[in-house]
Amino acid sequence: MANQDLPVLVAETNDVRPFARLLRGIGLRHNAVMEISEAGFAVTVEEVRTLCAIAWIPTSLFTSFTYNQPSIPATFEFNLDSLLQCLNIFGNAGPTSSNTATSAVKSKRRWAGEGEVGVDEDNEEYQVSGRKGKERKTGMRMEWTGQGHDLNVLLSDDSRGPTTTCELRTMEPEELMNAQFDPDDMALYVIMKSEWLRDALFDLPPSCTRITLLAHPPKEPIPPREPNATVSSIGRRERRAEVGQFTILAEGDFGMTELDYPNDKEVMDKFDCAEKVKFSYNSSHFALLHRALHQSLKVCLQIEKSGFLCVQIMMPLSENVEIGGHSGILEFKMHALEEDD
Amino acid sequence: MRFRTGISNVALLHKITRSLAALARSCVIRLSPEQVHFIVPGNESSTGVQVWSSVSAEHCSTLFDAYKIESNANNEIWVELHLDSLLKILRSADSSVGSINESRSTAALTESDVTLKLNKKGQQPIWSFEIRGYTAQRKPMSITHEIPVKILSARRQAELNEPLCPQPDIHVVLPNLLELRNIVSRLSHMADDVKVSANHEGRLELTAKAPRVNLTTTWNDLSVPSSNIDDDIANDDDQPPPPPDQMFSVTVAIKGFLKFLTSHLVGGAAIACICEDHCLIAYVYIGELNEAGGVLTFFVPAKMTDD
Repeated sequence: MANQDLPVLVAETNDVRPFARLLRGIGLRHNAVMEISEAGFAVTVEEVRTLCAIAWIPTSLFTSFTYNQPSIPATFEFNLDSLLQCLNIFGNAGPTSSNTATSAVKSKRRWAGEGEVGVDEDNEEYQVSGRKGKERKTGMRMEWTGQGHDLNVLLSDDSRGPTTTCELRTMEPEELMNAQFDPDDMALYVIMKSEWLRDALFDLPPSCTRITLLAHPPKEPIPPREPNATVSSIGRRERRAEVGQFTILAEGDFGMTELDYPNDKEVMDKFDCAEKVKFSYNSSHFALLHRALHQSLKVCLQIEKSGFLCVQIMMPLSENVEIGGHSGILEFKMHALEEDD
Repeated sequence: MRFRTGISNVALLHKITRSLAALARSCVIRLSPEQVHFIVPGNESSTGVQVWSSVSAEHCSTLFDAYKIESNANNEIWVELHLDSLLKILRSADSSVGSINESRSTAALTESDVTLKLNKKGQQPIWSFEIRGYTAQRKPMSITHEIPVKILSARRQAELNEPLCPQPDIHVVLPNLLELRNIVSRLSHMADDVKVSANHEGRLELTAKAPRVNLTTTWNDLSVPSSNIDDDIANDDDQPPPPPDQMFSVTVAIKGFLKFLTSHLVGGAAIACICEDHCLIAYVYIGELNEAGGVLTFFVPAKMTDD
């Protein structure tokens, strides 16, 4: 009890953007539960017991991180929206203050004909915001005295005067379900570039209600030829049956969208699939991944034999990360929908 | 009743009009031989924010040029007009003169000038703007816009009175208005009211209280213009000056505060005065401070709070 007087947490950083980016990725509900440990923060958001999103925020995102373990676990519930708005008070941590990586994605064509009109405007707008955003960073000092106290966040705009102090109310945390994923019971394990999945989510029909994930293991028998298939499509089918493939299926009002990811070196970093896997998920939950994938590097999809899905999204590494460390991971877990016939 | 002037700085007049249009649909313009006053009375705007401003109309002033006025009432004319229509004309004039966004549009004229006249069309008094210049092919071009205006009667004029305010408790030079506006607009997502406080050490605080979070944004080392000597004489009950760290506060609606902050377009320096629990007065200078080009005065009424 010697450290009773010390604050439980003091964390400082000179740029809140990576921190805000992680929190925004799980910003699907107003309230979130924050758990502080020596390794950093784990911020959890649960949506009516069906979807669980966790942001793992390592200490490496902060220039200093002091944690004094209290007698009871350092866990509290807080308003995520308010924290995000506070972090963006100087306009340096908003969804638009992005780096070059996103502009490439942004100007990429999404639907036929769509890009042609707006491309120039988009680029111009980006250049303006990019010029402004480059120099300015918001620094942060976060302090929490302990249970029952407000979370104090001091923000400053580094170049000039203004500082903002925020006192966020903290609450007793709600009980979390947080079902554990069992890696021993895995049916599918896929790692690929975030961009691949992000672009796919863009292309899914907005009217679809369920999204089906389908995976074929390598070395499957070649499917029977379709009567009016072209030579190249037959070749493609045969090759994919050979190496295995991962498919996202969605049915909307105007038809079916199917996106195939063959198990090629260029596409998949890892593809472990022993037998055919097919599970469907709620598309509104799946759509939440879209925001989380923004600015991320790699995505890992794991499916249990029961259909329980765990998606882990890795953020780009910052400079001072040691080997084996990370700069933040977002994790989404959801159960499969009942199969309908 | 005669009125005619050249507009030497269309871009600036355009910006002033844009910041007024954020507040109200119509405005009163009082034209006198020395000054032009832009007035948005309190009942015009939904937030109770009022504007009483004056711009010098002298020869070679910031805004006008070759300004002539005559009338039976002290050589003054009061007109009321729709800001929307005025804005449309100024947008057109601004693009013709070629100052919008510094990038010359194809519609820009060279050697252009803009003149404004008070005319009559039948019984309807109108303001007519004439834009003259040469096209890229060196052809002379003239564009005329007309908007109906209402001439205010002496009775209506007498009804318009600048709000009376107590001696302000403190003056403080505001930080860059655009920066301030960005911060205040983010606060507006979280709370309805903001408490504006300042002290004589040059500290300015904006405090927003919401159920989930309290936010205070602080600026330090702002300059605090000392009160005029006249004020000190008037203050004859020999009150000691307040301690420099005493904060003076007023709570205003963020919506109203934001409306005043649209004047960041005008781009000048701004001074805020706090009359504790009464109002916030903001002076936005047009042109350089020492040029005495003019000033837009915004009155933002205080909101009474329980605490």
